[in-house]
Amino acid sequence: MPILSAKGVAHLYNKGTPSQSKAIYDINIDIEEGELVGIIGHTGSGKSTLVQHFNGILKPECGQIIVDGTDIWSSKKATREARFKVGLCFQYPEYQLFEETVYKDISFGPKNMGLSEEEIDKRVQLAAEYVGLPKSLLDKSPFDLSGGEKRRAAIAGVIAMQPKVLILDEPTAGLDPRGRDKILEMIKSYREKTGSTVLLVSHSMEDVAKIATKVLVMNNARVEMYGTVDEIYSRSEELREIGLNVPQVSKIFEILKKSGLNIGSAYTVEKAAERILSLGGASV
Amino acid sequence: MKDKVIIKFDNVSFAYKAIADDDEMAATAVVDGFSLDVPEGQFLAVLGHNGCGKSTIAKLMNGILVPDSGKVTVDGMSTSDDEKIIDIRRTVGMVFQNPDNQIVATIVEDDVAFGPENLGVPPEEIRKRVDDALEAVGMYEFRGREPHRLSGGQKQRVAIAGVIAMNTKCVVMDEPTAMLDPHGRQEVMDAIRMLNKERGITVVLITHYMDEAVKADRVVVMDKGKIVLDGEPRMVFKNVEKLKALGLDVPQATELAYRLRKSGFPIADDILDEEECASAILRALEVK
Amino acid sequence: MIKDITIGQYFNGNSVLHRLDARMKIVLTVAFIVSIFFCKNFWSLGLMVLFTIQTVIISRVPLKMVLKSIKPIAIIVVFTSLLNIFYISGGTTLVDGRYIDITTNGIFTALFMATRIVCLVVISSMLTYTTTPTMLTDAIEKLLSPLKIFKIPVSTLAMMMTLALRFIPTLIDEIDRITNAQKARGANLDDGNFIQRIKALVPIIVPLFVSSLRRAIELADAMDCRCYGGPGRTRMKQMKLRFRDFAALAIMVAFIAGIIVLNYYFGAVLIK
Repeated sequence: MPILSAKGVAHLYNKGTPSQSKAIYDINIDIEEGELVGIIGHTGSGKSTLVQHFNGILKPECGQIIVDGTDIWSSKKATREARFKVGLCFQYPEYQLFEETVYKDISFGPKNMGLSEEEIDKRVQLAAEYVGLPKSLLDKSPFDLSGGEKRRAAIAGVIAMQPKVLILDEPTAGLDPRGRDKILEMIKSYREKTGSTVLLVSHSMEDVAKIATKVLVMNNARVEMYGTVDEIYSRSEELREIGLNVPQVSKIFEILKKSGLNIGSAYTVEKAAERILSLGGASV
Repeated sequence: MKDKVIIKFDNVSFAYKAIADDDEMAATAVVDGFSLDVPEGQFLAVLGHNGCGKSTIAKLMNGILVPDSGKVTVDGMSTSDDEKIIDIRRTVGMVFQNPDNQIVATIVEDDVAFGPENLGVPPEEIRKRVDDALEAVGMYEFRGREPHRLSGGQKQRVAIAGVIAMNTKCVVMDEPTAMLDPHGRQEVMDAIRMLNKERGITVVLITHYMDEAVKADRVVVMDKGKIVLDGEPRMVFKNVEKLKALGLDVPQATELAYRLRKSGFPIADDILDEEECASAILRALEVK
Repeated sequence: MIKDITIGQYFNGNSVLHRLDARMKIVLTVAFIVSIFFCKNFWSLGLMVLFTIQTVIISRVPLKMVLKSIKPIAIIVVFTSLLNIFYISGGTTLVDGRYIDITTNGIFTALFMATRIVCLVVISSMLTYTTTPTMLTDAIEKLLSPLKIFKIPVSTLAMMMTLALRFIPTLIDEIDRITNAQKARGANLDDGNFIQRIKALVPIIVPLFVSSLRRAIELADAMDCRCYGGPGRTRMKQMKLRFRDFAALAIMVAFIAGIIVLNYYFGAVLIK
């Protein structure tokens, strides 16, 4: 049974006004437990709208969202539970920090779940550990942290709810390469340690190639493709047509292939180097 | 005179002063003994991780900040000279990271007019400059729009038009693409190239995106308030290990070549783009 | 999407009314409002209604939008009318009830008040329908500029107003984002008593305040960079009174004169 499914989901912008338009439609998708799904698509393709349906922030015009076997709009209780089963971390999450201390901020979600003090404490400590925030920072004001630390504290606030599905909307936006790599590394290890499902909305085909197991491509308010990284990235022509740029190494490999080199494909620098070296070795 | 220096940093130090808990002034040096010449007409990229002092450098370039010691000169004027501040700012314009926080008017063309209006330019002349600037960045059709309805890339282009309309000689951009999607980044990069190549405006681009720095005439890499690398992109990106240690990226083509070389694969170390990389790999394989 | 909100209620169009100088429109609107209270009989009241209808027609603003602007005051109009009908005495008594009398004076006063309020609202909304907030701000700045001799910083105040107009959509967008983010962490904003609801707003207000402060600081730098406060500020868009503005003024003068003449000629309708 998939952990998360959408069945015939559609959502409209400006419903009932002359500028009414489809934000997303005809969304049918099953996401299996434990996958790390990269969701890509250019701005306005509907990817942010889609993920806001998964935890019930947005209500679909028609269709069903099923989380862990329950239609999240079947009852008021189910809707509220969806908030905690599916943790959604918005873009620039550091702008949601508000408490006096980092500790209190991370515990906001668990507190809203009505958990006991002990349980909350356990979860806060664990969440801080997952995102790599040292204990010494927990008693500081969130506004005294550096940019990257703020971002991680905010993500910890969502992780502390221990959702079955963690959705991150552009978690690396605006960070420098080091900050970006830390976040990506953190997401990867979080999934490995907890076995939870992770959805990563991103503009960066490079980032997705580095950590995702599956890729979902949104285009013109619809799911254009859904498959493994290999399946999707090998369709570079189609990707380019819808305005998505494959990583530079993929382009290099395309040129090599066109020149008659039988080399397969690669989407990360590591893979690419491996492939070329194996080829070099063989031809010596 | 091609080599005229427009912005000159002479042994500049600067530290932010904050009042610490014990009411003493706590200061951390952000920029330390920094010297740099920016020649007129150059497209200079300043690379560095967050907190390396690159934004501070930007703010020192037109007197938003003034050095604690040393001297910053713009077109021969010291930024510490209060009387010259307006002249400095009409020489060096600035575009910031957050597109929302630098647009002041409720209509695109009014925003572009804001700078020249403040400089007391006659109305007919402002109209001309505004139309010209909006044409240059490809936003002329949007002149009557409300800024909050534009995309991030479009807002940044409006901000760039606002600087062009002031007839500045130099534009400093502090991570103008950091909050944009790939499409918006492309739009802004195209506008920057136009600014530099067609209008001969000096561009200082502060960024941590190496693919943007690759397109510059010169790249300066900063760490801990100092310059650690300085030269043409090709020469700078050769230093893969050093850049990685500084927490920066190199183009994937450069990194691939670097990895291959390390494993004994015969390939040059100054590769920047995919075409170069592919043909170098093909050549190497043929030789073998 | 929330991004599509419009500040004020400008209706994009190109009618004569749209093209009139905003300063003139403000002055004429004020003149009209004053003249409303001169109407003393049905003839002058009729002229006022005609004038209002004519203005709406010229503006080419859809009737639906005009009616929308009246909707919020409908209750007040009905309520004050009823009060007038029941409590004003004088004139011919029509109904002689035990507790209340209904008199012609009462009915006339009610009619006058209702018509006046509706015309006032319609004409004022004509001003905002045909003038962008930016144009209004500029016009107010110009009209108030004589106050500069009293050291009132008119330009600065106008700049503040423009910035407020500029940032309202941005902040609304931000409130929306923060609210969603806190909802995603299980914040309950819709239930609970008054105190609980106020408390539930803290997670939204604090981030909003912090980010507004950051915006203000960045904006100040950006404005400095563009030489705000530099040598003598000029304006790209010069306000110029054209023939049509003087024509509009002439029409208004004729209208007021008409009202005075009709008042004088037919006398007051209310019997003292």
